[in-house]
Amino acid sequence: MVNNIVKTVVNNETPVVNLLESPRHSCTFGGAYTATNAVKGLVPILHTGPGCGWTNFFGLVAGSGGGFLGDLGAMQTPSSSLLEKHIVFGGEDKLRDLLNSTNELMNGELFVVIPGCIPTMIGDDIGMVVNEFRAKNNTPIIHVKTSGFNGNSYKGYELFLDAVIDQLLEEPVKVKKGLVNIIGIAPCQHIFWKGDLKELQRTLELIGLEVNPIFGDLKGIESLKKIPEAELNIVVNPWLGKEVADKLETKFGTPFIVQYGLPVGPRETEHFVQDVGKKLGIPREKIDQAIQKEIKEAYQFYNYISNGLYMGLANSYFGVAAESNIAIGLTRFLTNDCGMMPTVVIITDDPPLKNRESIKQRLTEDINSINKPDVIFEIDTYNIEKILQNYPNLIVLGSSMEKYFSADKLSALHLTVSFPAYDRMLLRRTYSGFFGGINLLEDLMGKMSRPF
Amino acid sequence: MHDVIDEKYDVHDHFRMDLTKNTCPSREERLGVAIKNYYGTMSNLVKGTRDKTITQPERCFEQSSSCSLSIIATRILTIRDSVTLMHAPIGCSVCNHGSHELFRHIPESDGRPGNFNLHNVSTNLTEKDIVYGGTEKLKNAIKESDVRYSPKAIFVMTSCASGIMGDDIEGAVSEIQSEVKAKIVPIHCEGFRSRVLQTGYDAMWHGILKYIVKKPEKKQKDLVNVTNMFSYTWRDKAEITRLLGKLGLRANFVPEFSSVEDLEQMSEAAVTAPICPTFGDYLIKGLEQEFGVPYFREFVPMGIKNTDNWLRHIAKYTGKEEEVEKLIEEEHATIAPKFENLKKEFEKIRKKLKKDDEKLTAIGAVGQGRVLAHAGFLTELGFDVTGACAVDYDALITDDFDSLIKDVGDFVILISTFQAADYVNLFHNLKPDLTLQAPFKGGKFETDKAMGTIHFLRGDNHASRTQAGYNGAIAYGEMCLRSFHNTSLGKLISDTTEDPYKAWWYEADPMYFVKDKPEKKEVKVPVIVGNKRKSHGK
Repeated sequence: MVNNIVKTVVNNETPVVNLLESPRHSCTFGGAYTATNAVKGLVPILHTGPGCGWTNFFGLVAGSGGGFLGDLGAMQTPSSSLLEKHIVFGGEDKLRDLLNSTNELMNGELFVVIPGCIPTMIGDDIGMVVNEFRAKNNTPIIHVKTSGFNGNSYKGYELFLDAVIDQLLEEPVKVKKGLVNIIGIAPCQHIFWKGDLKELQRTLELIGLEVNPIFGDLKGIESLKKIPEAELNIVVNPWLGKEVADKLETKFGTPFIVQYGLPVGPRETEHFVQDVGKKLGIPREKIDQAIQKEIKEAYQFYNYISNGLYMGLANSYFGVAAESNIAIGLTRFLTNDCGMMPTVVIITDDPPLKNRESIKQRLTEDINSINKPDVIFEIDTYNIEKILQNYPNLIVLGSSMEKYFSADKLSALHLTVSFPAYDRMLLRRTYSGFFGGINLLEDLMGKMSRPF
Repeated sequence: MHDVIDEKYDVHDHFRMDLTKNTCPSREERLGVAIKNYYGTMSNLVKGTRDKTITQPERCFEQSSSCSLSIIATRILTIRDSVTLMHAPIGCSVCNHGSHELFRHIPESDGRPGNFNLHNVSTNLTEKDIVYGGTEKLKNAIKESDVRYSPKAIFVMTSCASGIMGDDIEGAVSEIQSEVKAKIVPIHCEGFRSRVLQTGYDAMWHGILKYIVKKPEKKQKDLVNVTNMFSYTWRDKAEITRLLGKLGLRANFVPEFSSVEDLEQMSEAAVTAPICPTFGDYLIKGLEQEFGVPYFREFVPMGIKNTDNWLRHIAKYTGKEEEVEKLIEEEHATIAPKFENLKKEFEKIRKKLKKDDEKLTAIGAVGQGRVLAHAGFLTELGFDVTGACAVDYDALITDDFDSLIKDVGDFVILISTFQAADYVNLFHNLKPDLTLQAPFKGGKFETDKAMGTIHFLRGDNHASRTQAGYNGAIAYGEMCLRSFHNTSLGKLISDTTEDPYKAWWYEADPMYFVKDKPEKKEVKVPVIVGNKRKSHGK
């Protein structure tokens, strides 16, 4: 199905890129900022120029389908707001003042210093200032090794967890039986992070586990401190968070498993839960029993809309432009459980080269369609549009940037499933778990005018 | 850098711009006073500016604010046949991801052009570029933008990173200009450049004046340049277009959603009319200096009286003095009764909330230009203006503030660039009956009183979302009224949100975090002398 133009545009060998139109991420600084904000009670302390917090708030947070991230996000976040004179004389004094004054003014459980471009380029010794503060105060403090230019916001998420592991977590710890952490769902970048973490937690609790989603719950710093006590780390992402899990295994001996793509719908979720159970030695029958009701109910909902599925969706072409985790989950569900046919899956989260083959496999193998989708790794919005124009899709699952393009240029139905999501408000919405597929069909079929 | 005022700077602006330079001076370089922190009365601010005792304090606590780059990128992005190219790490462009959706929902029948694309692109500077320099990448990015989008202009926006790296932007641009069709417009807007956000606007206009505005071929006597911000809506544009249309004039809205051609022809206009005098300052003066286009800056078309005056000024420069009086009369005939009804509704509320002849109190504003607009408008509605907030302040607006005090009385002003803690402190202590704010700027509002929105946004296309002109006076007034009619959200949020600040902060002087300021706690609301407001009903 893929034509030659597309093949030349897309080359997995990463050609030199001089220009990018709206790639679907921010910088490491932005990723670490939103990750910090997603743990209640943490105080992000931005050591950077005056506009970096603003830009990431209106970009990464507002674009993630959620207007606000707690009381220490948006314009409440302390920031050293460095100016020209600090570039000349250094920004360490400004950071020192900011840490002390924040401590005087704000309630917070953990200070997280997040540097941007300026201090990194001028060589501020942030570690020294942070150590000084630590020596004199009771408030715990860590600093994340970000700059604006050492990677994207996915990496920023990992760097935040790195800082937590290296600077906050202590050993030795006693492993708590049945406790698991979920890793790989980056706040804001993964636009359904709030709802998906809740649903994955609920799903795993069905089989008797205690789940630490780390982000987005009410426990605050306790969620972080609990990380080493887990019996198992579950990476729900085909690549993101693997290095974090590796690090946790090295430091605390916690084993991990990788769920290659968000489990969407009863079939994939059952696999997921069984995989986790197997790793933890929970008998298969016990799990079967625990999830039986959920599966039955999920298929009952299918029944309500089966006519609509036949007439509206089955055997129709769809294309995806989304981050790998979501792309895999939705493509497998719509293909294997709804009879739809993927033409192209554009992966927009720039996974490391070493992880791309496994992502491709999950999208082309064990897929119930004779047509396998072309899997293309592309982060440039201009190229993404060019690629989509080559396929006869009825439905485009992408970011909200594809909304008007899909309608005007492709005459396709469009649903926002990946960052940025300026046309959706996403709070508890989830496409993961036994009922996640049903939620997806609700949203998708809501886009159609239908008599069924 | 000028924390101590240099004697060579005059508080009066005798500035003559030099378009042969790469960029504008920052506001603090240009003016005697250009600050982002102050808490006190308007009268003391004006006095302190004139006798040069107002300086920028050094703060030890600051919160996230904004920068020259981010404040103008969102505006330049909307210039329809251009490309916004950031020479920056990728994070700087993340807040422009709405580019493919902006204005798309507005029906073409409401005047939206059918075919346009907005392009947010970046050179995506990485560690390697930081070490080896980014000019080659920039040149290639310019060439590729030209091929991809065939734009009329490419705005090259500098960033903190490109600034510290010392990339020769001008050199790269002049080297590559002959190879591309689009006009390349470098904008020097490094985030660290200035403590005053207004510098970003000046940098934007400098680039536009230097590279885009054409020498006039013929004067267009009916063309009025209107400097327009994103805080003015589609409906505001419609209202201004309607009013100027009745005078036989055409509005040339810049830069918001303009075309490059709209910018080119600014030199041919009869007059430049700002919606905000400080936002447009550099442009209106540049157009006069370079092309003889006259301007006025005293009025903002918000509220009935100010709209009258705004239109009269435009009429003066376009020979429409007679027509404008007729227009004003016609408009008043329909608007005045509606406005009187509004005032009656507020009077009902006043009777419920206040004793005797006490007026309802209000705090509004966000930019210094909006201080003028809001104070005038709220006074017109019958409010007592307790205070105002302004993102920054400079000597360009001192005389306007002085006139405003004479007009509506003295009030408290907080100059603070989106500093959320300063805002909550101010609102807690002044306790106005009506607060006009944007919640993201202040987070927790401990208020069970009326809270209205500070301004509507550029994409709004509903009659209730108008604030300019006569229809805006009614619509914005009605929004203020509705703020009193249901305050349940404010109560709920106030009751259920944890406080990020420690309790002492609410009793502290909001300027406590000015460095080396010794005393702590007790809050002092500035005392207003020689004015009916001596206390602020706490």
